[in-house]
Amino acid sequence: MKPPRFSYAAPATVREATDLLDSSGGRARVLAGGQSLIPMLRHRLLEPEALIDLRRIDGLRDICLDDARRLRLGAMVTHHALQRWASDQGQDLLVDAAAHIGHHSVRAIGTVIGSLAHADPSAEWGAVALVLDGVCRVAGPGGERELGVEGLFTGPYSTSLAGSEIITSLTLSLPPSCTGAAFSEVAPRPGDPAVAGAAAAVSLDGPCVESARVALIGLAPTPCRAPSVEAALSGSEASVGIEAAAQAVENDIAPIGDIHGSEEYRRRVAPVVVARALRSALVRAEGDRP
Amino acid sequence: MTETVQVTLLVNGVEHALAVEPRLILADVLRERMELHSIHLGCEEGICGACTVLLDGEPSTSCLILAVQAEGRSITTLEGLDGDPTMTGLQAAFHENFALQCGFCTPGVLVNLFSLLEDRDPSAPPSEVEVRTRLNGNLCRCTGYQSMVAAAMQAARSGSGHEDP
Ligand SMILES: Cc1cc2nc3c(=O)[nH]c(=O)nc-3n(C[C@H](O)[C@H](O)[C@H](O)COP(=O)(O)OP(=O)(O)OC[C@H]3O[C@@H](n4cnc5c(N)ncnc54)[C@H](O)[C@@H]3O)c2cc1C
Ligand code: FES
Ligand code: FES
Repeated sequence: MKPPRFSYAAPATVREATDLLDSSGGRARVLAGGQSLIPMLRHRLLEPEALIDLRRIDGLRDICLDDARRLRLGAMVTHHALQRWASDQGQDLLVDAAAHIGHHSVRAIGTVIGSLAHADPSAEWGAVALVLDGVCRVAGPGGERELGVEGLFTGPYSTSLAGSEIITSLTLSLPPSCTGAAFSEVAPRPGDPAVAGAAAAVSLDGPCVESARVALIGLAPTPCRAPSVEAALSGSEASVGIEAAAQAVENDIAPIGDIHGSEEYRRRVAPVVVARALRSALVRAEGDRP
Repeated sequence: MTETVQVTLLVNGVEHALAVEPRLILADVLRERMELHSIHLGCEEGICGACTVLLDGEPSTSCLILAVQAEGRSITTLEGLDGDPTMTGLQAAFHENFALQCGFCTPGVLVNLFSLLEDRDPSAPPSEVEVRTRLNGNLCRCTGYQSMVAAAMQAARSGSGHEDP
């Protein structure tokens, strides 16, 4: 179908954009790449009064890394731009995850932050942002605030953002040394939405796991952390602990079955993706030792 | 009552000033208003790739872009690549390898593969995996892809058709 009628504005500042959103009383939507929003409009799942396009706002395409290895991405950084940056910098987790997102054209236009705001329970960046302690900078009519990604997702396709708020940037804490990170997923075909996926970051202290962070997609109403897996791994001898720790994922999930994978299938595939992500994270952590 | 806005679109190197409804999709402008009939519409949800154009040189599905979003960017359709040596080489390889049947997917496939092959050194052509990964963005119900992959590999190896025919 063709999208419903709406009015359109492409303001030059974040302030103007939040004012426009505010004055619409929640009936306007932010437009980033449109790679999720336009399909929703075409299916008439949404009928916003106005779209507020972020494309003219300066600085939203910036990618900056600070001395504390915090990576800040502006709201209009595309999947592609981050993928390219990550492969130049050898950031394996980001490279792994980006490759699973749709196909080349989707990645060229769609944005990382748009994906978080869309809050698809299967979106790769959801798990990555949880593992890398993602924090969103959120601008609204009353000023700015910080919102941890953990507090962003409230359910499938829903977030804690108010209708007049815009995520202006996302900060990710890149893994420190002696840490390996990886992403793995199962999908019907490359580029299809993930049935289940896991992002993992493992830090080693000698042969033992000092700490581990694991996050999941497709296995609950929102992307989520896997605290049981993380607890089972911490302090264990890395090479022997992985399979058992991966099994603990059953305590961390609440899968919803759909046409792509039943609840039962998702339960069975969960430990598989967790173990795969952990194994490659571990290999990378070992390679990262000084 | 229909609200329209004024946009200037740079299509195949030519600027077009148009009044459009904000909800107008780029693919519809290109196909219906500009009569660029290489733009095919299959799924209209970003999956089949039949509507692929280059947006600032990157392949993009024009069915998921509003015309207003494309303002200030350079849009290239298959028509705009006519006579380009890389495209001519790719088309010749498609011909030789029987890489199309009904032809519905072909313009989108050519534009997508063009962007993979353009500026590539023929001595370091893309791998088969790279070609197949790129074709994730195009659905073809006829060929089974084998012949398209063969054509793309042949075109990549022979460079951009610079040699005399
Ligand atoms: C064929 C196809 C395959 C895909 N496959 C995958 C996949 O495998 N994995 C995956 O993760 N995604 C996939 N996607 C979705 C894609 O990643 C989108 O790019 C992403 O979900 C949304 O980003 P966007 O920039 O396009 O946002 P938009 O579509 O513009 O916006 C999405 C939503 O977020 C809101 N929003 C956007 N930016 C902001 C902001 N800065 N602040 C507040 N709200 C905001 C919008 O109002 C809207 O509700 C696919 C899409 C297509 C068309
Ligand atoms: S019509 Fe645009 S991708 Fe299918
Ligand atoms: S040739 Fe018929 S769809 Fe590809």
